[in-house]
Amino acid sequence: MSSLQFRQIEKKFGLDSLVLSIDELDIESGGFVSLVGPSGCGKSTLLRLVAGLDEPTQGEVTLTDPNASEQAFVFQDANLIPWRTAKENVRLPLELRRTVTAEDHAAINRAIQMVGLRSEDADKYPRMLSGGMRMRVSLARAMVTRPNIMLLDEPFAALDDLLRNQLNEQLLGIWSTQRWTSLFVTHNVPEAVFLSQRVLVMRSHPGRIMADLKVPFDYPRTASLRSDPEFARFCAEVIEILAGVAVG
Amino acid sequence: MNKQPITWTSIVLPVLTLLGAIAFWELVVLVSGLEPYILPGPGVVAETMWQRAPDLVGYTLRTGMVAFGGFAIAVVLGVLVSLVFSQSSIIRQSGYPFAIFFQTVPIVAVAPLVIVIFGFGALSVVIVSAMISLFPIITSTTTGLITVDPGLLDLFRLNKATRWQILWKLQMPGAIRYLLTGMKTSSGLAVVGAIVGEFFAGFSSGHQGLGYFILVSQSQTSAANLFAGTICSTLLGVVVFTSVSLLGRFLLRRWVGEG
Repeated sequence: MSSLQFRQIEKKFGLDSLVLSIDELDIESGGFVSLVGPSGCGKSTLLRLVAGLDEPTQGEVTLTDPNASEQAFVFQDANLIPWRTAKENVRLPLELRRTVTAEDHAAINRAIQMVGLRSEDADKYPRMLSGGMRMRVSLARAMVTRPNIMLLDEPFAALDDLLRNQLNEQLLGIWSTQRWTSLFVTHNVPEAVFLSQRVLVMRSHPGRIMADLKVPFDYPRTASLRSDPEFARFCAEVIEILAGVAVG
Repeated sequence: MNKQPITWTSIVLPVLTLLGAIAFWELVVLVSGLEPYILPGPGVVAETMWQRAPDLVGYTLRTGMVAFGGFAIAVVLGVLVSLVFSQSSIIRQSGYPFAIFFQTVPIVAVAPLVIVIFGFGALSVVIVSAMISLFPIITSTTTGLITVDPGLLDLFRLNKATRWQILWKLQMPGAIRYLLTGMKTSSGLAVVGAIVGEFFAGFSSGHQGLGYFILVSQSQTSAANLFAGTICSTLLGVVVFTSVSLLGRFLLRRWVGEG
């Protein structure tokens, strides 16, 4: 069953500049889909349309199950409020929705634990945390509302490879238990392949989906998958399509 | 906030400069041969301040109190106006240019008008002090309230925050740093405003502050008293500015988690 339907979507900035054009796209419920493509191909715009942060100029993004419409967004920058501790940042989405209950406090602590943040770090301010820690806080904040749809806009782009791999594995672990529908934007092809069931390759001017590739690896996926020759071969295939898109 | 580390040079060098300036002052007095009632030396001024210490403390405290009154009004009124400005770009565009325009009106020109309207006395002095210190609060706080990180604004919108929640949980805490910058500028101006106000209103009201003391000293051609009044005004300004800076550091640490 699909969770998100895109039909005849267009997004223009200004009168003429068409940045995104999608004829038809379905994202299955509980699926993990990555978007790769050159800068300016509308990957982030697509996420913002789903989140309702931008309106499409034409067409509509449909949530097929209205009972499963809770969304969370993880930004490229951890986007933490500097005057709140890590824990207070995680609490924010709940605070904005309702009076925070004892049950919510348990959910906050659970989210902090799931992303691998130590309890002593939860009371620290963002400036006292490393880039990786800040991103963990950002992930916990997204998870705390128990979303059905998780939108991730290059969340690990600023991290080094080792940390990125570690967080990828952790993210997959959490996804396998929560089973939210994931839309993951990245520039990093191995990251997209490692995480996703499908990789959508986009081109720019205007942003279009040029290839929809099914990733042929079973879950659960572990770090060893990255050294699998098949993994490298599939990544090379995606990179080749991406290079063709960038040139063409 | 960038904090300069305190080193021995950061203390000793300014002290040496001060001692050098005092020595130079004494030298000028000796070489010029000017009479002490025209240019008193630092020793004469120190002696005057010592002798008149109880009076000077009283004048300084009274000026300090009206300056504080004016400053407090400026902060409250300035923040309220900024909150209104931050809520609508139409209101802001209508009113903000005047906030900047009024900042350029010389307070010495306006003070007599205030006295005509509000009469002689402490109230007029407080109003003059508030008027001069109001606009830096408005300009800096408004800037702080409207300078919101777009990423954080997205986060709030995504979580369907109300306008009130955005103001209370995002804009206002984010504007504290800007408000404090405005307060630092305003605190010094409030002292200037109080003394200027006292020049015009302070002497016939029974409210005798530093402005009164300076005026009387001028009429008596007492240069030593004038120096004493100037030094007390400066010290008052320093105390007020330092208090606001310390308060700012405390607030940033306690509420904003910085500093």
